[in-house]
Amino acid sequence: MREKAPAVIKKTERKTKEKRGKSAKKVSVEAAVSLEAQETSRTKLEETQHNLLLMEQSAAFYALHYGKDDPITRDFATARQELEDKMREELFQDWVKSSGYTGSSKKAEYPEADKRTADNEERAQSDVGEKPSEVVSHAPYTEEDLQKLLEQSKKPENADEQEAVHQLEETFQPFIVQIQANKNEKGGDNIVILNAGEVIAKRKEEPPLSKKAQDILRDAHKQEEDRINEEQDSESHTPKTHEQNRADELRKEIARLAEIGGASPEAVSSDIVRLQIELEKLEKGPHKKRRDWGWIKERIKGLCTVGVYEVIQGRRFGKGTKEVAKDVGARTEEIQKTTRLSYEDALVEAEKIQFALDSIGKKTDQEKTVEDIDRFSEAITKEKVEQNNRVIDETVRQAESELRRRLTKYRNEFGERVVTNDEAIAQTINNLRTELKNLQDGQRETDVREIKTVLRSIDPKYWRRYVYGGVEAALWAAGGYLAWTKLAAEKVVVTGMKAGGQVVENVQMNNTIWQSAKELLVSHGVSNPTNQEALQLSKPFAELNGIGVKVWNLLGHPMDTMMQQGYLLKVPKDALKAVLRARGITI
Amino acid sequence: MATNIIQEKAKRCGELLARSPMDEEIKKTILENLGSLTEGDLDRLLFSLEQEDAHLSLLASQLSDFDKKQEKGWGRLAKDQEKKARDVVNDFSRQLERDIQNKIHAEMK
Repeated sequence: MREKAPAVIKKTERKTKEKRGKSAKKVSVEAAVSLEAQETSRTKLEETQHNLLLMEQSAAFYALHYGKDDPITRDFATARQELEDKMREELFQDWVKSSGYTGSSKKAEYPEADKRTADNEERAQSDVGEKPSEVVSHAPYTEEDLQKLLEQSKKPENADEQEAVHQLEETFQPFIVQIQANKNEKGGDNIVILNAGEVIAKRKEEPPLSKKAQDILRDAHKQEEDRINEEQDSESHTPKTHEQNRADELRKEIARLAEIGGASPEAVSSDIVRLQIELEKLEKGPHKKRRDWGWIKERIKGLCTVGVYEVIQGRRFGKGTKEVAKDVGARTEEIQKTTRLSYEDALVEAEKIQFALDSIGKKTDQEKTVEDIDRFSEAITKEKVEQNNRVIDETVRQAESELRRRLTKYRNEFGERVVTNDEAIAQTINNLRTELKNLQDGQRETDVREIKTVLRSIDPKYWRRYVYGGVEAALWAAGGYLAWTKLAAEKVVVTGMKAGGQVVENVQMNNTIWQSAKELLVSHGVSNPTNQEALQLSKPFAELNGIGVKVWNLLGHPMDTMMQQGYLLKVPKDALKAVLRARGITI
Repeated sequence: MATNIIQEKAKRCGELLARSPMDEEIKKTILENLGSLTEGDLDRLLFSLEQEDAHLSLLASQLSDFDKKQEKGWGRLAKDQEKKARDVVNDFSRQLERDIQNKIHAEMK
């Protein structure tokens, strides 16, 4: 057999390598796709399970407070059942795909799963007496517990029973109990679900915290708190450091050079630049350090409400300044131009001059002198300027008070309330005054956008909040940075509430009652309010405020479709509390 | 021994509680109701606070990094803007110079 030429061998080898490379690439792509699909379905399953649990809890909560036949309870129960059916159907379809089963879903018995369950039960029976090593309860109420609770809630006069109901509610959240006495040695899944009664019993088995431990905890808290306060005080009251003194010297030197260089700036400009660079370096250090904690705290607040707080703050600022700019824009119509008059304005002024000349008896062209015309023109301009000044003063005054009112709750990215920063406000108002004065010179027409920009100079970096909001939401979605225990959940609620200023009496309507209800829930720590929750709150909103809603057959004035943006709505506190409590949020 | 461990836990819990950015109202409620807590509750509280402390420290460092990067980005942008402005002015002055020279040449001819 004739041997292949080396070139042919090389070519064949190359082709084989290429083929292998291609198939390896294909396999890796397929693997990546498969992993991605698995990840997606796992996330979906987890989400569904979470929703099922929430609905179960909500149904139990409503059943406890309003009875099993309450329509909301039934809604939750039905929705839960529907979701479970859907999940079962999806699982069945997956199983059909993998097993090749061709029968109906109703007849499918999942033989393998049934066998596994039977085996487990058998094993459990043989292992009677062995305690599991770890017990997790997400406390779905059993029929029996529910009955007990309903009976208890009907007899509120008994303090002990009330306490029992309270304890049950307290243990409503997921709850992990470690049993030290029986560490699992055999392996396997030892997580079991306890009912609410068992959870309470388990907690009762735990020894109470001794008096001494309580005192130690309090003392440690006090000491640490004092230490932190001292640290903060010393930061704000420390005598000037060497760097700060140097910075003061540099400032003085720059001012001196600037004064000297008035006549020949090029002679001193390089020195000034050098000093300014040094000053900037000195200013950056301590200033930034001082602000760090406030900055991080604000970011954490944003994170705790999944970035919503950030966006709310950004919107609050954006919307506040936009509305003020609109008002200012409307008022600038009253500002009269003194130079660069339009054709119409020039005609009006000419008529006024003519009238003035007529009134002093100078009716013919020979009698009208240039001096007279100039004199009258100047008088008219002076009058215009005075009137404009009055309009500008009034506009600026109103803009300032509106800005302060609308931005009361707004904090900049360092957590500082901008309305308390008189310097920034004064600077902004000065900018606004200059902008308005430019309008009277006729240099340009009124532009609300320009005014808005000037007003926003109060916190020029305000829009960065949108960026941070998105980053925080992404961080949140990526991995969950906080241990989501009951305590942490409560923290979020309170932080969210604080952001909105406790439980508010009134809110301004944003677009619709529906949207306002959702936003209110968000501000109270419900990060993703459902339509059902929005509905639960929207109806009481409409009823309490006497608003007519056609689709709900509610009579009232105004109709929901005719309402003004920003309409002040009274908050239905009971309904809000009910929705929040269903989420495990207490106020 | 066990008592000592609980006391250590209580001490750590008190410290972490003071450091936590949690709302003061919650802290107050916890401190006022220590009597109704069990040892298990102390474990759970400590676990939460440790988790919070660890994750917030990590988060704080990540956010600081992000801020530093942002600042650097802004600084770079300002420099780019300055450079752009300088280039435009230079181009304009060169063009002006050329125009003047052309004009002089034309007049001389």
